[in-house]
Amino acid sequence: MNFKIAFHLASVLCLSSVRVRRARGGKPSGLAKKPIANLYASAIALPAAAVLSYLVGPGMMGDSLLVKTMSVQLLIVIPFLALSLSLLYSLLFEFSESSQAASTDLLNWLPVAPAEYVLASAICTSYFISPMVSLLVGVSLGLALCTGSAMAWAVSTGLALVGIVIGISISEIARALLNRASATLYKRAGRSALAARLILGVIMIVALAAIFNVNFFVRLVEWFVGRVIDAWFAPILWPSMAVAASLQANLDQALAYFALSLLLGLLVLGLAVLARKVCWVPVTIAPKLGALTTQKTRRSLLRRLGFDRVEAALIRKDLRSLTRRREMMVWIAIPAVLFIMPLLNLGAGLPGYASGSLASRLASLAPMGLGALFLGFYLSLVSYGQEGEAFINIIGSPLEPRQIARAKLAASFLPASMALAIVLVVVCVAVRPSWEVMLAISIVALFTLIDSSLIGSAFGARYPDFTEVPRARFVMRAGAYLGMFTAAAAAAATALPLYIHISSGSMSLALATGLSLFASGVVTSGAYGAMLSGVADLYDKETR
Amino acid sequence: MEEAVALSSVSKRYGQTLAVANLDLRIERGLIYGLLGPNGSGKSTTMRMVLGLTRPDSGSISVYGVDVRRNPMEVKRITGYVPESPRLYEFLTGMEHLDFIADVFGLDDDTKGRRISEFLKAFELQGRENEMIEGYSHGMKQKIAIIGALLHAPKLLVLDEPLGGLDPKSARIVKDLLSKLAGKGVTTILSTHVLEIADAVCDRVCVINKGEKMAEGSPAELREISRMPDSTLEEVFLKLTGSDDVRKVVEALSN
Repeated sequence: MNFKIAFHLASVLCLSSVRVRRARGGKPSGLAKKPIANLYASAIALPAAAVLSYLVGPGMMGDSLLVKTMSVQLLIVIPFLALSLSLLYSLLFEFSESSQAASTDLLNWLPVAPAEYVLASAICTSYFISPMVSLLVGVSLGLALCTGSAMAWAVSTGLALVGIVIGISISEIARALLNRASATLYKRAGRSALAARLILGVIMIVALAAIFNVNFFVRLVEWFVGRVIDAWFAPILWPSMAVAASLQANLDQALAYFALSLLLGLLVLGLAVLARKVCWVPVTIAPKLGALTTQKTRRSLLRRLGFDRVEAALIRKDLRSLTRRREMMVWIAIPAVLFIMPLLNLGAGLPGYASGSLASRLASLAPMGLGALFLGFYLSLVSYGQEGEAFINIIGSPLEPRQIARAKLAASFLPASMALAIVLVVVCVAVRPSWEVMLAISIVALFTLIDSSLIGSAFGARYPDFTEVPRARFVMRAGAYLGMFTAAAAAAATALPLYIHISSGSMSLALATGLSLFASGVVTSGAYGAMLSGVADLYDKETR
Repeated sequence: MEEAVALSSVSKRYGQTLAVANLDLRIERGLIYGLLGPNGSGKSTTMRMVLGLTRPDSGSISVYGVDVRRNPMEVKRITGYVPESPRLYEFLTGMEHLDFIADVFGLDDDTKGRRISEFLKAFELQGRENEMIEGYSHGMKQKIAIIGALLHAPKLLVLDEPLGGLDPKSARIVKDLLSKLAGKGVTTILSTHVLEIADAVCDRVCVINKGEKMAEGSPAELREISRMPDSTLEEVFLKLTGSDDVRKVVEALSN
């Protein structure tokens, strides 16, 4: 192990991560030149949070028993939180990498040992999560001083560091295994492996969101306090169990779990190095070479839907890029989280889902509908910017702006409409409204989706961000915010009459549906015009 | 002369396609060895196997007597590699990137500073070294990749299309440098599609097609083998790879 290489590589990884978000060409300056802001933030966060929680905490909570309970809960949870935080950050970072992915290929032919890489990656992750951990540790210090548990705080903090090592090591193992799995899939399954990787990534993000939602967290803390001592079979809880035992003055058990935690940290770290050594596969240069095939011309489904040959080609290209580009994952994951959360709650049988009024049951599934609307909106919003510098290929082709606009809209609307169809089926099965209400909901939802997609497309064309490096954003911030605000206002205006009917019955269903459709019609015509003019302007600008 | 690189019965398959078929190569020390072949002929796979980046399905590879499979780290230490398209830390400055590479190869501070300065000056990158690489042109990135491969004075250079994007002066520097280094015993494996470069620079050339070795020898020997003594290397190459019916293809395409 060459520590000099490991530390230098860690600084390279940190610099790359900071600059991919901040810097843009030229000479790096300010924080991008020497990113030590996180270290300053961490150094300030710990004492500031400690002083604040020491001075304000007891006053805010009033009851000293409550302060004691909070302090105990926090001290026990912190090692697990540190572990989760490092794991979550590492995994999200892995999925957020786009242009950086290529540069990591360089390491494959440099004499950097797996242990050096794992250590560098761990240092880099620690750097990024350090302010958050410092904040938590600071708050727990303040409360611990109030309750006279300074010793337990020291144990908890030490074990939080062990938790960070365990979290990062687990993420390194996952990264190496995912790399091997995707390289193997790549060779065997060709292009479908790309879609599989994307779906796997989205599932992972959704799973993490599910694990870290507030309900789960509250239950976790309760569970920790109640049963942590019984959870000897779960190694990732050993650090927390050591703290719990030390708080109960059970020294033998505390020492045992402390030693076990350290051993676990070393073991997982060793496994991470081994995984990097054994499983890591450098980028394959020719993953799959097939036999020469003759292109067959056939009338596609898109042509049958009324799109001309050129539009169909553009839609196919966009749908392919949607399933194959890693950067698109986040645009699918956000709506997917919204979409799946209510399903999980529905499965868990939480109140409001199985019983209550029609309005409350519908409201509990509303995030699913929002997920479908967001999907249409987001995809159309980024549909122009995601072309990047390759947009030159589109404007260099014999395509009319109108054809580009129609194709981009369709490529966003089609996947979102499938998501909406699923939502409507879930509503039909779970809420069981009358067929008239179901029909009205379906029509209004469909038109709201059309409007959202149109608005997204209009703003996407007006505010595209074709920058590829640093970090592709696809749409300018102003465009994203304005678009979101407009789409939300339009959706609210369209849904309001039907909502009034369902919640209060003060308006007839026919009138409510009519008003909703009228509002939608106004939005549709305005957004359609804005989209066409936006694309025409973009076309003019790029060809000028 | 002693062997720098030896490939014995090396094969590599991707799915149904045989990328490299039972390849035997013996490359002597201090040679500039050209690997020529059409796209997809197995050149890059061969180079990556030499570097230990791709594992052969069968056969063995050694670099300066080191078994690539058993001790890939040692092979990396004595090798400099320039891939077909430069792979760099785009968000570092040129100087930071080279500083990192030099540290990885264990150069002491004096040597590091001196060599980086020399190379930056030779490749006319002085004054731009503190800008981030992502703002560089393709040629400048290629220069940084080449400097990165040369910094630690490797015994073996593996260069995949190294002159792509370089201005004429830099290309000339690289060519002359390779000849000088060869004189000092540095071995170079060079892949290029520009056959004039191969003709001018390479001591020996191996023509690969569909993963198989078609011919090997000095450019002059290849002309002899193909019975085209007065032809250019391009014509010899086209004949050896069975792609000499270019005229017919052009006729068909133009119609």
